[in-house]
Amino acid sequence: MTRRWARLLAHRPVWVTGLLVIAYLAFQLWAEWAGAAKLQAAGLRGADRPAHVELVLAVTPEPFHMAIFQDAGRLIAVRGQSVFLLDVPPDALRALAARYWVRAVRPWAGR
Amino acid sequence: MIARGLRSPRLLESAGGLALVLALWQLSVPLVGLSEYFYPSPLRVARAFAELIEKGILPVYVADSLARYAGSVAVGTLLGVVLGVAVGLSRLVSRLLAPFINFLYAIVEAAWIPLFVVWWGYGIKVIVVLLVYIVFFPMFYNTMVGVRTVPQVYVDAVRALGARRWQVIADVIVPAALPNIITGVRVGAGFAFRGLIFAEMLAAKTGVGYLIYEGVSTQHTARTIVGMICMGLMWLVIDNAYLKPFERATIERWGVVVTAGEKG
Amino acid sequence: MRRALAGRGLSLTPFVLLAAAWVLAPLLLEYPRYVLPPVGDIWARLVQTIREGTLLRHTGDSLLRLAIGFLVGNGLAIPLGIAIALNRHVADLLRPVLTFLQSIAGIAWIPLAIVWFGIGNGAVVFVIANIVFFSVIYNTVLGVQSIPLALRRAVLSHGGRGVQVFTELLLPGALVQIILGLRTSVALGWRALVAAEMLAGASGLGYMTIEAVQWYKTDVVILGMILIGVLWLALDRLLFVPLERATVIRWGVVQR
Repeated sequence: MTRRWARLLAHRPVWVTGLLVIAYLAFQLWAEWAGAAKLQAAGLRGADRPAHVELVLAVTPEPFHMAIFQDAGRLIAVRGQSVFLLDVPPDALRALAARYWVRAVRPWAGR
Repeated sequence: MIARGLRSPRLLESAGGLALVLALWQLSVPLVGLSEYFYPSPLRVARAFAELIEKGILPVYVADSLARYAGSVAVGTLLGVVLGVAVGLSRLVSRLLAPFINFLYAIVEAAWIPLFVVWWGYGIKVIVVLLVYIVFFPMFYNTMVGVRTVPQVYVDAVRALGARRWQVIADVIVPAALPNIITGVRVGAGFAFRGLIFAEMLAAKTGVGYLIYEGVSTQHTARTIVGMICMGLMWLVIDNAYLKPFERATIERWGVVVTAGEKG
Repeated sequence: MRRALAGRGLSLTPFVLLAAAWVLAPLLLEYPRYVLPPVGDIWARLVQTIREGTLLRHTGDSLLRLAIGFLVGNGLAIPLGIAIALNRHVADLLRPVLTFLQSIAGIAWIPLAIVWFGIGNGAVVFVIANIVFFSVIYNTVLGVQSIPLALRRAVLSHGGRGVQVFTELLLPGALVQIILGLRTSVALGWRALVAAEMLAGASGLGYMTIEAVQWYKTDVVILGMILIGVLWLALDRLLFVPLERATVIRWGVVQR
């Protein structure tokens, strides 16, 4: 049984695909975990309704990022590497926090 | 085994050639004397590379491109093989369609894009349809030729042993047509990759092709070069990890790969 | 005789069906004119653009660019390729790089070409020359390197020197590969031309086709598509089939 698996894995297309899939899944898992940790630190972890947040980024945002923010919630302001969003639904928030270029999430009063 | 691989002559050649080109490039920058916008140095490109990864842009672009490419190639291949087998089995139908397919082959792939844009506007649909089209044609044509040129002796022999229609198709015809099918995959995948990059330049908002275009339009020429390098690396992986092994496997099983009526 | 006619009739059926569907569609279905203009519109547009001279201008521009790009690309690639291939070590060193560059040749350089030459002739010709250059140089290096070493040594040991080596050995040996490569480079060049004109051109068939999109002039779009295909077929069949028959096939040499 293992001999058959070994022969299959020896084929390059198979192990390359396997490697890519494993790498992708591993990265997704890590990102989700890290995202949850960021939300935990912000006290927003189990949120079930839209929240106002400040996202502290590790980089200066570009149009690429703006498009992501605008899809997630209402983009109000950008100050340096901090972005302020209104009414971000919980799953969008989880997705945002999972991004590796988001350094931290902070709750925001909305003003 | 890995150590031996690292010392292989081909790897050394590649590394050597790469080093030579990079050195020439870096040295030519002061000679050319133009700004970063016109002629970025390798260091500038490396920095842009790091920046694009830091900002999470490059992984998303590469993933989007790969997803569009892999999905379209898979669909196009499936359609091409299924229809190719179906049509190839009937000599009448293949004679009916062959000239028509040749005619459609003449239409340059990129020329479909304007029509698609008129119908569907700019966006992913245009890209995916184009790629499926690009992959479908060589797949369909080569499969059809492969199926038609299966020696009748094979089919008769298996039928004489009592095989039913489906068994004949699965066990004799498809395997015998496999070299041609693989050729179709290689041709289709190659054209589709170029088509992907071009279509993304024209009609997408993410992806490696879009990056190549966006770099220039945002005055970040170094990013354009990063995109070009990524494109080359992606093709390196696709060709060496998937296309060449498939081809090698067929040669190993069937000896010389004979391609019937290769279209230009 | 009857069988041949029946075969011909069979081959024509899809075309007839397509034509019939196209003519009948506006009568049977409801759709805006821009989705599928009637055949008559396209013919009318063809006549109009010929009469206005715009078609001649676009076609001429496209063909001229192809010719220049083809000449420049081949003119640089063939001598350079032979020069590289002469030194075995340099050839081995550069081959992986050339393979890599060949995979991104042409279309990927369009934005860079726009930076260097602006929109217009320069960018389009550059892109064509680029794709022709990289594919021809790769094939030339391959062609020269595939000349059997024994043959090379034999010529040199018989006192062949310099130019003689070039004309008697290298050129004929690599010529087959070069000629076969010329045909592919026209095919690649034409495709690169169309793509480049769509993104970086100010005239030409590719430009004409994409420009019509913003005005929803689908008849121009379809006309462009047909002309682009017809022109390539003409170039390929009229130029290369006789060329190959006169050279490669006559010499009886089929390498690779």
